[in-house]
Amino acid sequence: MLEIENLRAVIDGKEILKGLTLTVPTGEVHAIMGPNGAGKSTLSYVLAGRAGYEVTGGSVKLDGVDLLSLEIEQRAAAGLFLALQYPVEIPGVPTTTFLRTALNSIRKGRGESDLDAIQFLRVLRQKTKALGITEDMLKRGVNVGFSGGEKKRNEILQMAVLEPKLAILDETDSGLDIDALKIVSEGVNALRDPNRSMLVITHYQRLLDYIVPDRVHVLAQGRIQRSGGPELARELEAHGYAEFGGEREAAA
Amino acid sequence: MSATLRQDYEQRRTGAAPAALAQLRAQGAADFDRLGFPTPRAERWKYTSLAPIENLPLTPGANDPLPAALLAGADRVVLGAKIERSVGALPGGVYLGSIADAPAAARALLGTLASSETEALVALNAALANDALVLFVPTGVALTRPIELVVPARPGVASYPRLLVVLEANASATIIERHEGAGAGFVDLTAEIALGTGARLRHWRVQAAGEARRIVTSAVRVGRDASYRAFTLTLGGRLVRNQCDARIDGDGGEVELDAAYLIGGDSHVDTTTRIVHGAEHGTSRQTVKGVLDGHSRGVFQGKVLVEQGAQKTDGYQLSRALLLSRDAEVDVKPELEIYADDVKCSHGATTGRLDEDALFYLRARGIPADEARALLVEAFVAEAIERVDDETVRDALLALAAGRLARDQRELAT
Repeated sequence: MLEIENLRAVIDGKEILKGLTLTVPTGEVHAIMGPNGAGKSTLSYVLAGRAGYEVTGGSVKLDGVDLLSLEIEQRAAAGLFLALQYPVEIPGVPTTTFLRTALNSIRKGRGESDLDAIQFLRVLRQKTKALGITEDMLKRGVNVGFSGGEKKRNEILQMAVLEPKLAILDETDSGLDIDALKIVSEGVNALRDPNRSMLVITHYQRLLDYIVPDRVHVLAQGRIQRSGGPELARELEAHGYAEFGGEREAAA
Repeated sequence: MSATLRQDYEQRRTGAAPAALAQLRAQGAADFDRLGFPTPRAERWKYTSLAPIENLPLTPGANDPLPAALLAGADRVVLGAKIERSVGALPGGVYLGSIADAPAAARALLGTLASSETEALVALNAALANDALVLFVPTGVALTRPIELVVPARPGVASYPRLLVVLEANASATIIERHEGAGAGFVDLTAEIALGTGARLRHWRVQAAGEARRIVTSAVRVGRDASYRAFTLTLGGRLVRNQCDARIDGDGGEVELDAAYLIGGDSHVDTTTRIVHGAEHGTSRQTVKGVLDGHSRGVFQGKVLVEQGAQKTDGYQLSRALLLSRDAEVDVKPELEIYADDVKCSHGATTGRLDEDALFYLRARGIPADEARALLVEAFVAEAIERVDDETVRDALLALAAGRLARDQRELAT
């Protein structure tokens, strides 16, 4: 269970999160929607521990563990996974090496033994097929020469391999055409699990047609302004974020 | 009591030497007396001061004691005051040994490729060389096993190994040079390499970390359709300069000079190369990658000169440095000088720091910060090491580079 309480965060001296409170129970998928500049990406980066974001108040707990006191990699070991809006290209580090190093680091944190190359490949093969990730992509440098859709699929593959307790999907739909969106959504849906929470961050309602959330929250001006069921997403599509002080733009 | 390099030189220049070296030594001494040590005023020495060599305390009268243990059966030669060899059977006509007994065709080339007239460190080497190791491979012979050369640096000792490699037409060989020894000693190595038509030489070099001062000067002449590929991995050293002057003399000749260095502390590593295209359809390639931590300093001076008649030359040069500390520094000077009008030549140079976004990404996937840094640095140097076209050697070099990084991490942790 993710429990965020009264979270405040500042970037470059400007307060972006202004007392955000949110709970995602274990096994549920929650969506965060909001206008540009509402603090959606800031929230994901603050949760992951990225440098440059200063937490000035509040608390974040994952299954009772205080995330804010942990280093970036310790948060990952504690079960947090952030699928990036813009996955980074890392030339020279093959995707398989990256995934195996990551998995073994996380296993170490859980007190499990390392997987050797053969055991790892067995795990990997099971997960790549459904996502349409080829051997060639696995051999290449992480995300190097990948299309936008391939990069997002690679994020979902990482999530499938690392099996986090909490997955945050930061604008995973951005830059995807409808086919890519379907593949990615199917990948995400396959990872829905009674022991896993998900936080789907998006500007548009479209993604939520494919990944249907249990709850929808509207983030604007640094706080959760309203929460509701999946129908709230459709309401936002019709009326935009204007009533929450966002720009006058339909969330379609 | 200790001696300076200059005092050591004065004492040793009059020492006995094989007759085959008499002329080389006399010429070298005359040239060195005229040239003296280069100063930063000399263009090719602008970024590298020889003070750590000139001021190195030497043990008076010390010659070069050789490591006792040689790997039995390996094709392994120790280059020191004397040449010691431990080599399995070589194919007929191949010669590996002292200049004194070398084939006349090889002896005649000694001192003709590396210029003691203009290069002070070559002159110094010539003046004090006690022997020269000759590898001679006759026409059409392929040496399948690599020849391993050990070049030791000994604390308080200056040594002047000399190497002459002659590959006749369509001959091939691989040389692996291991520069060992972490103590404060000085090695001034001069290598002369002549490749006949269609000959092929692979020349891999690894230089150990530590306090050693190493000046390596290679002069390479590449004949028609011949190929010279060299890679140098430098893991440290108080002062290291790898200078290579290669000339493509015959049409279709190929030269590749790659290097990677991973240094920290107050290490200084200088890669200075000059590739002269003197014939048509020549190819030259160069990838140099440096990783610098601590107060270390890197220098890359790479010149590609295409002479008037050298049409259809294809030259490419890339130099990239990664600075891991604010106090590390790198000087890069690529130079293209082209006198032919139908050529394809380019170069690129970058200097940067570790990509913070990539570091965050790796850590966000659970990889600890130090391991994430090592992964990124390994990937950075791998781009150069992957130019080595021998899988066994390439894997060994990658492992050495990774080991060097792992050691750095341990040192940081303590």
